[in-house]
Amino acid sequence: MFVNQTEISIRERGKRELFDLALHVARRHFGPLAVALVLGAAPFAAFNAWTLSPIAEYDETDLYGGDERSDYVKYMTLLVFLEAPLATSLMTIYLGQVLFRTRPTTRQLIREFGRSAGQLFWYQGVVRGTMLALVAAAIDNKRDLAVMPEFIVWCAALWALGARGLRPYLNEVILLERNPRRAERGSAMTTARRNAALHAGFGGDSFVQMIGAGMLGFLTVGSLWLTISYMRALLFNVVEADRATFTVVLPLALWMTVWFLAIVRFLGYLDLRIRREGWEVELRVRTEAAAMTRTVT
Amino acid sequence: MAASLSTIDGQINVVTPENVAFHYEVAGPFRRLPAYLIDLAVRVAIAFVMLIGLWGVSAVGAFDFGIGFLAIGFFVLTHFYGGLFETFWNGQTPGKRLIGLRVLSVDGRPINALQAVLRNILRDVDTMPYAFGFFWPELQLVGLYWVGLISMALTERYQRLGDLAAGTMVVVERKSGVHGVVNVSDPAVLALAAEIPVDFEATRSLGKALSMYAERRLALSPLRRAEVARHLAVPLIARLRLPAQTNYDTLLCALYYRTFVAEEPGDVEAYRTPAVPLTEAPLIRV
Repeated sequence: MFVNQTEISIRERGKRELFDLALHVARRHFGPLAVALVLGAAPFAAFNAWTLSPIAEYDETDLYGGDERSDYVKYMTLLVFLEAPLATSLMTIYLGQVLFRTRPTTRQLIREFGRSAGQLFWYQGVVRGTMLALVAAAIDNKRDLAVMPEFIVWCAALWALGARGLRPYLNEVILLERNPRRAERGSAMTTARRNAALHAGFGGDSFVQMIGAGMLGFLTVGSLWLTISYMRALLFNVVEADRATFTVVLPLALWMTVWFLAIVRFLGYLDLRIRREGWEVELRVRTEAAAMTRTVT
Repeated sequence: MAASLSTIDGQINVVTPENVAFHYEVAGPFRRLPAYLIDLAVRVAIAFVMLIGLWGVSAVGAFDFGIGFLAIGFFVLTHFYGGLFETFWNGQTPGKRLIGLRVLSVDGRPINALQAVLRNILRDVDTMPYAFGFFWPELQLVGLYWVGLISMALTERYQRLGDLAAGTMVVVERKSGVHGVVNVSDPAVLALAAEIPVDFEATRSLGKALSMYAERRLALSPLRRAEVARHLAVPLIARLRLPAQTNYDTLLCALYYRTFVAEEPGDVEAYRTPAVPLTEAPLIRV
């Protein structure tokens, strides 16, 4: 692994530069990243459509009785937010491999995912509360136990918000660094220890960054939602906000935003490792050492 | 399967027609956003002052004159604010100046008035589509900027359509490149520097690696320093015939000192002292 052999130039960057860079990464790897998201997000999108289907059965002629519509927007946004780390796992694996100029096939991606699926399910699904929220949302599907499940979904979302704000790169630690969940020896590196070490002293910064990214994500979702609606109006003459505006266009806008922010998150992880561990220095030093060895031999 | 070989980065090299090479960091939409918002605030403030002016001239009975003046003023403000500033401020508006951005021609030369006006007039196209009025009819006037964003995502220099038409790009102004020499004058470093053969001379790329290491080493933990330095130190120890136990971090610092600080190899001779054993440097051992 040398300095001139990485797909993305290794150097320290500012946060806004990472967003800019994400546009270039998204462009160059658009197809594989889109496939990775579709594979990862499809089960969750189907679940969301099923669990929120009772709310979507509102009277379309009632233009101003918007309770169901706002409920749909609220629940769908919460669910996609909770599911995002799990749904973007394949993207993370792809980006981790393509960084060193290896393009994995879909089968390889799924195989790699399988190796970390247990830890991912445990940390992202159980510890960070995603599965609990999804079970609560599924129970709420018939809309007859509305208060308690909604409370659980909100609590899980707040818990996930705090955990992700303070330690945002858990996905990358699990999927790319592959430490064991339990230590065989007392001091051996585990996923939890590695996660704590990587994020030590970074919590405040990362929380503020997450709020910034969240605001940007919120604006992006709104902007995409309106843009896709605009395209529908141009192409299909749909000029009113119909049911598909909520059940199809909104989830599409949400998942597209998740897709972009997952690339930004990966670049943020890379940047943190560069700052913390002098990664760019190591690459430069290794390149020089290899050149020196070649000269000697 | 190997991917394409060019590395993704926000930096480009430009060779001017005079055959001078420049290295630029191009600014994408997210780095331009604060400058855009500052310019928007300035435009709103100017518009507010113009409205107060209209109120003033109305009070003296010149409302018709005032409204005509205001219409022209708004037109100029909307379509020529950026063009005029970028013409007279060498590619900068107040927002760009505050954030440290500048518009340049793609060949690295300063932009001219035609380029400045053209890229700003075409901003209206980049702003499309406009919100369609779903949910809130007032939103119809708000630009969603997807044309510009997609254009910037598709071009290496983050150019929106206005930039493509005018042959311009927005770059980050270069900060001072003078960082000075890193202080590595630990006694162990100086002592080891004295042990390095007099005929040692770092190549340009080795010098760059040493410089990068010396600048960053204090930000790394001692263990991490040793881990990073080991890659280069092991072949260097063999090449320079130094003791195998030589501290890796100290060795790279000593080479840095010899390359960038000591004016002549003899400068470090005074530090050759048995009081500081080379293999028991106070820094981390590996």
